[in-house]
Amino acid sequence: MEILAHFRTIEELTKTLSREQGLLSEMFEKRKLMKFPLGLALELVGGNETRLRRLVDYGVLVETGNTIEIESDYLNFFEEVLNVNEEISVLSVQECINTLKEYIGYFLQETNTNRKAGYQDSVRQLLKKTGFRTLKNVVDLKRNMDNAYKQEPNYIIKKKKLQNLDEKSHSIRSMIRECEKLMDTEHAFFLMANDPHMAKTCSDVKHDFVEAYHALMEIDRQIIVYINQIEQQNQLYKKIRKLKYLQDQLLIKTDTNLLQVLENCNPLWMESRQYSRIRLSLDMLMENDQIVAILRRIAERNGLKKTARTEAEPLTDEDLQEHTQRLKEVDPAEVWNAFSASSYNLFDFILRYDYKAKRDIEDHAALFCQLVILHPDECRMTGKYATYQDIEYPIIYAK
Amino acid sequence: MEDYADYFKEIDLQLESGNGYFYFSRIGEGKQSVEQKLDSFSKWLDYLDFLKCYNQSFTAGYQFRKSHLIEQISLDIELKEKAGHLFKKYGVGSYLEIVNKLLQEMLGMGFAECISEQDETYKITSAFRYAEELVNMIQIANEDEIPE
Repeated sequence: MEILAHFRTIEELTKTLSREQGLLSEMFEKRKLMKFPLGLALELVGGNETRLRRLVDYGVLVETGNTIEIESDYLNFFEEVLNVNEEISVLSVQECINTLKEYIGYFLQETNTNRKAGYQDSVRQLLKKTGFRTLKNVVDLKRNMDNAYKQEPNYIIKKKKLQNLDEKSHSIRSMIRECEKLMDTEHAFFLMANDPHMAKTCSDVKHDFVEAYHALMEIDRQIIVYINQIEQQNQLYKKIRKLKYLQDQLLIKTDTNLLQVLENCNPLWMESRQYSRIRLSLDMLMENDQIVAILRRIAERNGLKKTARTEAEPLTDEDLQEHTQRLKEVDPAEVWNAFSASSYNLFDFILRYDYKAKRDIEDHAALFCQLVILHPDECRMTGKYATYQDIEYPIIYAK
Repeated sequence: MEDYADYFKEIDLQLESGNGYFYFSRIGEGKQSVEQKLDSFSKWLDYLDFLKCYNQSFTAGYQFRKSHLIEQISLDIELKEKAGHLFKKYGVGSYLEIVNKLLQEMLGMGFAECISEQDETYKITSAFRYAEELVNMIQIANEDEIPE
């Protein structure tokens, strides 16, 4: 195993760190995102491999295969100093308290005034640190809790996380209690070390504790609410599954009180919707193209495609041209008038008349009978008969 | 609120309020038979079962994208099976059509709102609690039985 070099002075350390600040800050920012590739690191130190090597030799960076990372001592140091550590470490507070106890013991037994003052300072610093750590832990706890509830997609993990946070809040609480007890029971020591700095620190820490306590109470409440909500949702989920299962088994009516529940409420949404028909005026429909367009859109949205069926194709040019159709009918009055002005006998006249349409012998016979029946008084019967083809007819003249 | 309740009383409707939602119910005898109610309920039970299967935390305030729901259906075999049963009698075919229909129902009941038409994001409203409470009101006789 290679032996790491040491920084011998603070000056050397800070100078080295400041020279590589570009690389270090970049790596620190990305500490959670990715492993830092060696090539990129090399680029950031200006392609100078000795500078990078130096950092590795001094134990600031650790090389793992093709990537490098900041050594955990330094990472912790950066996180602590920059106040960005998100982990809640109850241990660190516990450690503080333990050391605190140690130093108090030393202080009480030390007889040398100078050294006694030294211990007193240590105690003061530790106390301050404890208060600060506790408060920070509580703040982190709150943030972690919110994150866990709002962002964790997995229900089981979410619940587990919240339960763990709940435990942590309990241990922070017991830590505070322990520290407070220490401050109270070792009162003799505080009286003994009755200097203004100490008194201020004490009151500060106590104030921190009170604040932390209040925050913890709120956090506790919140965690309970969150866990309950999750529990409630879980139960609901199970219930829906069970009801669905019963429904599929056709047991839902017999195994539940569903019918009673439904009988007791009459919400409107369960009723089938009533449609009221509105008839549009035909005139309006014919005149206004806009209305037709609107109707079309509504039909389209509702998936109706049958509208086109009742509508005829547009008229073609041929349809618009004039068509005349001549009927076979003749006006008997017109024929009679022409006949009465002529000197022909009726049958001959009917045969010769210009009808503008082709007529056969039967039509002529029909017309003959029709005219005689219509004008019996105006006919002059001669009593003679003649034959045309195989029809025998009386010779009739107009009077 | 009371003014409105009085107003709707005139047409035999009772304005009822729940936790973050309002709904109408009919005063006195309902027009629909128990069977009808049962049908309506079982329809929503299917929807709820499907939605809760999609995400257990599907409740008021939940937000989702239509595309994600469709994606999820094609990934999750259980969801796929449930989706297939949802609108069977209407002959709805593709998952897109199923989801569209479901969303339409949800929007119609006021259970969901479209908050972005561009990427079709929907949010579940407080009214969804109505459906949940309806489920909660029901008691199951043999509570110990565990469904498969």
